[in-house]
Amino acid sequence: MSFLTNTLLQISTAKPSFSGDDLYRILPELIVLVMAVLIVILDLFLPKRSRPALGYLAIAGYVAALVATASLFYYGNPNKTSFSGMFIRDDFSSFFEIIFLISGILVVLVTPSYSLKRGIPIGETYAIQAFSVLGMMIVGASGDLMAIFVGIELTSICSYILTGFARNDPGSAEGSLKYFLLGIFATAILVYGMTWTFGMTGSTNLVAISQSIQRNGLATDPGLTLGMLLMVVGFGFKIAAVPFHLWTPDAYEGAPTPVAAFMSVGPKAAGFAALLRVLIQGLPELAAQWSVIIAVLAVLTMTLGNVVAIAQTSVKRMLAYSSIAHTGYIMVGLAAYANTSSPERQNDAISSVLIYSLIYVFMNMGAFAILIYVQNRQGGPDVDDFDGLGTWAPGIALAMAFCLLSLTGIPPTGGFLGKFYVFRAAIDNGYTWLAIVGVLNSAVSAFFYLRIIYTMYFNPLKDEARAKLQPTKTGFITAGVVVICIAILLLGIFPDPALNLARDGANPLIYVVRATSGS
Amino acid sequence: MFSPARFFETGAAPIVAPEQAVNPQTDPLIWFLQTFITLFVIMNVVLVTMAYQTWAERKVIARMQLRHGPNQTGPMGLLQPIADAVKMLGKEFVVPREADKPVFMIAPIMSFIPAVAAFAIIPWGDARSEGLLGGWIRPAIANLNIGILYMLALSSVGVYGIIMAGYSSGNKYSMLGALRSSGQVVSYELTLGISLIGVLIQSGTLNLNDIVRQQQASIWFIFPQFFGFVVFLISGIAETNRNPFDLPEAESELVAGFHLEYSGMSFGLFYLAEYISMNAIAALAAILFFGGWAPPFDIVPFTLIPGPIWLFLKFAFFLFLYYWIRSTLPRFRYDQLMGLAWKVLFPIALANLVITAVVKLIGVHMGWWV
Amino acid sequence: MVEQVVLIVAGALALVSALGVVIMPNAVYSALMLLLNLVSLATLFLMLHAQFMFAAQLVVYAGAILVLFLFVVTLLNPQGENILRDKRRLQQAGTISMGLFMGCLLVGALLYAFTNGNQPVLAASVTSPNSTYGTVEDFGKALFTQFLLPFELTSLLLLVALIGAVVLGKRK
Repeated sequence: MSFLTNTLLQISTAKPSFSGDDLYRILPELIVLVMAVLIVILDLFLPKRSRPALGYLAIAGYVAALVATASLFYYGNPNKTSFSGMFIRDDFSSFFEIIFLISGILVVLVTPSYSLKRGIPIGETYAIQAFSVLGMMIVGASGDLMAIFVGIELTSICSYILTGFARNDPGSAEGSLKYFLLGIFATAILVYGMTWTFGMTGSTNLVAISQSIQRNGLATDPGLTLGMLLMVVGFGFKIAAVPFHLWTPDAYEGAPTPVAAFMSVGPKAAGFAALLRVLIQGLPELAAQWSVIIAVLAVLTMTLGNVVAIAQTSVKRMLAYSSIAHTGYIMVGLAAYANTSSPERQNDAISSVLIYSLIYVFMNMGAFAILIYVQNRQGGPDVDDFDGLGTWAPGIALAMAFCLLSLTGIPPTGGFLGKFYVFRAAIDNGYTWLAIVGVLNSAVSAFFYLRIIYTMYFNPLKDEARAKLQPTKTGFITAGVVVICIAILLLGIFPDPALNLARDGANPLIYVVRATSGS
Repeated sequence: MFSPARFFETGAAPIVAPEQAVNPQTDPLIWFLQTFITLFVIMNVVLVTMAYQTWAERKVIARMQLRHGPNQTGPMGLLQPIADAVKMLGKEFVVPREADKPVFMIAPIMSFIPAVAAFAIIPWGDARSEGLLGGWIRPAIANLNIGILYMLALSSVGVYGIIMAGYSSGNKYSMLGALRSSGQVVSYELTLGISLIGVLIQSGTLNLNDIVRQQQASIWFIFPQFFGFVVFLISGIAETNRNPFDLPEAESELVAGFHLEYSGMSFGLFYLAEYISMNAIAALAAILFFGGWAPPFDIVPFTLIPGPIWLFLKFAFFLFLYYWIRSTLPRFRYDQLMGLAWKVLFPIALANLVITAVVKLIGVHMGWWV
Repeated sequence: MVEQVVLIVAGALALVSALGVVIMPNAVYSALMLLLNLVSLATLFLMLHAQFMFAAQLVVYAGAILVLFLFVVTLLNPQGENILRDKRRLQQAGTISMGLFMGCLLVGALLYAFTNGNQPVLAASVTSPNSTYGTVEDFGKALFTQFLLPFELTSLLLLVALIGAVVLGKRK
């Protein structure tokens, strides 16, 4: 394992310096940054009519960053730290970058038709989304609590702002304010936890933290446990885990629908990236403690999300609760990490989290995209508004049915595969009861997902509602929906490429853990 | 490999601990007495300067307006400031019924202290020298390593006196004046601070005395930092609420702004604070851009004149500039004032900062200077 | 000797004023107490040889942020909202006991840190007379080398907040 010791040496002796190599390793982030700043500047000078064209620029930027990430990934990530240990370019960060960039592209596709119709400033929306994606990418690639914190904050502040962007809608302001107030409270808790961790271990660098815990025998230290708990609470807020989910329904319902779609995939995945980095890379010695906490939170999250989702009449709110439930499924994979010492099993657990996050981006984005379409045509996000979608927009209805089946977890969709990997990891690693709870929950979730399918195909569209259907531009949304459906289908039928990517992505964490624990 | 870190390694001046004749650690009593005497002298100089400055201002402006100015009290009206002071001290201090009494009482003090405290670090001569009377009167009360930051901190705390006065008076004119003033001061503080960073980069130190020494060794910073100087001067005038930026006390709109309800010596403190902070800005301009206590040329007729005189001459020049501007320019409108700060001065100051930094970086990298 | 006196006075002022922020009956008084608190903290920073932190505390917090607080508070002049006057007894008791609990936690943590022997070796290097710890130069070096990435990201964060504030606050 000389490669590992080398990596470690580079990490621990990282000099406080800065060179061209650093810029090369941070290239995808730089591309997104340049794109975002360009959008901000162009938005000022372009006439109002041509501002939607900025969407092309945004997509071009994301695609360029995606190409950069993919080529870094393909030609072997250097596995080195940059910026004195703040930034790690490894397969894990690349995998999450791919997730974030894809969600960025998809959200640009679904934004314009909704925002233009409601007078939401579009240039700023694109710019802030791009900054948010940048923050997420930093979170995924950070090897230091400082960078994680700044990245998470960049993402969160973008979300607070985007939530309030529908200025004609009082609900938007309400959701934004609630989200903001609870969010800064959670941030304070997160920082407090980081402070405790720093105080106990003397470092903010994740690898240095785990080394310090090992060297000083801090694994059972109450102060460190407190720090870990507080950080889990903070991150739990960002990923909307029960009982820190209270902001979610209001923020999602108030936010412009594209923003809700974005928040339900991007920042959530970023929160998971941070959790994985901190818990597995920084605090592996405390795995016995945090895995129980994560498991309990997972049960609460799945159950509450699914049960409350049943009672919702608004599809937007239902999707909010469904996104809470999916947080729970992903947490099952994270909890499964702890109970095993075999690297292959650990890889199973982490890669299941990664692959689920990737699949979730597609299927949730798909459901939201079609919700946006229906909102544009019908004006509302309620279940009734889906009446007879099968007759007046058969293609869209088919795609929606497909996404919903995937969210439920029915083969041959990607959603089934994600759930399969997560639950298999749980069973393999001795969390059978957790897997059973998860499967039961999936059964519960079928109720409300299938209800929409039923509405689409078996409830006729009333004539007066048909008369009120509004025209809308569908080009971008259709493109997005097609891409999403193909992706879900491919992930369901040929999961191997994505799975291999996820396995590669999970490797760095396991190597680091093994190297620090000296086995 | 090009690296920004190099700039910091080679560009910064070494940190110089102020050399003191008496070590405060070993001889605390003597050090304390010295400080006290220095403080006493400098405070008296500052206050007397301030008093006669009002006379000078009235005279200068009168001449510019073809009037005579004060000429009744004493020869050429020279006793006028003293008469004014006696009058002010003798007046009653009225607290309005609507006032928030404790805040109302503290506000003038909050305004006065930061203004005066700025003079603690103004070097009247080379602060590394012994000073007058064998060190009993030091050239500067304190020779701080973070002189510029200290000045900025004080100027930013100074705004509280105004806000507190406006709020506690229980009067809408006062309130409006205070709000205007705090907006103005906070905006111009920014341009003031950024315009100073150019000097800071140029000299590589925050210590006022070292900045003067560097100018003595090379050139007055007004030449390389001309734009910084212009921004500094304008922001300084606005920061001290002087014409043409005296909106907080615009008589025609706000009666007298935030100090409308103050009378007697409590008004006097605001008056003092305004003039003293104006003096501090003038002194700072002299020190940062005009070589402070250093003579313009290091040759005989100039070096015979001691440092404090040089500083005073430069300082007097800036005061004259203040009067001149006051009697020449009409008052700004509020939106023009804010527009000037954010749309004109701020970009100029930023550009100046960036250009200075780039030139310095290139210079250090090419080895033009170390 | 002098340093100890200043330290104790500044520390006591910081504590008292922090308490004052919470229990003052008038929001303007609370804000002014916060000012006192910030100035005391700045003094403490100075006593710890953190010169830059001292100045930044005054320039940024006292000079900019708190001014905006006061701006808003004096304009709205809210009355009566105060923990001690809270009529909802349960909430009042909850707030106060929570505050006490957090306070005890903090004190306990500090005691734990001081008695546990795991203190960082910072202290000696900081207090030596030739130490450059906490000077502006050191601060700048740390910001632009070791903490370059978070530092630059913070500027993005502020940019985003700025754009957001303009968009959300803009008149139609």
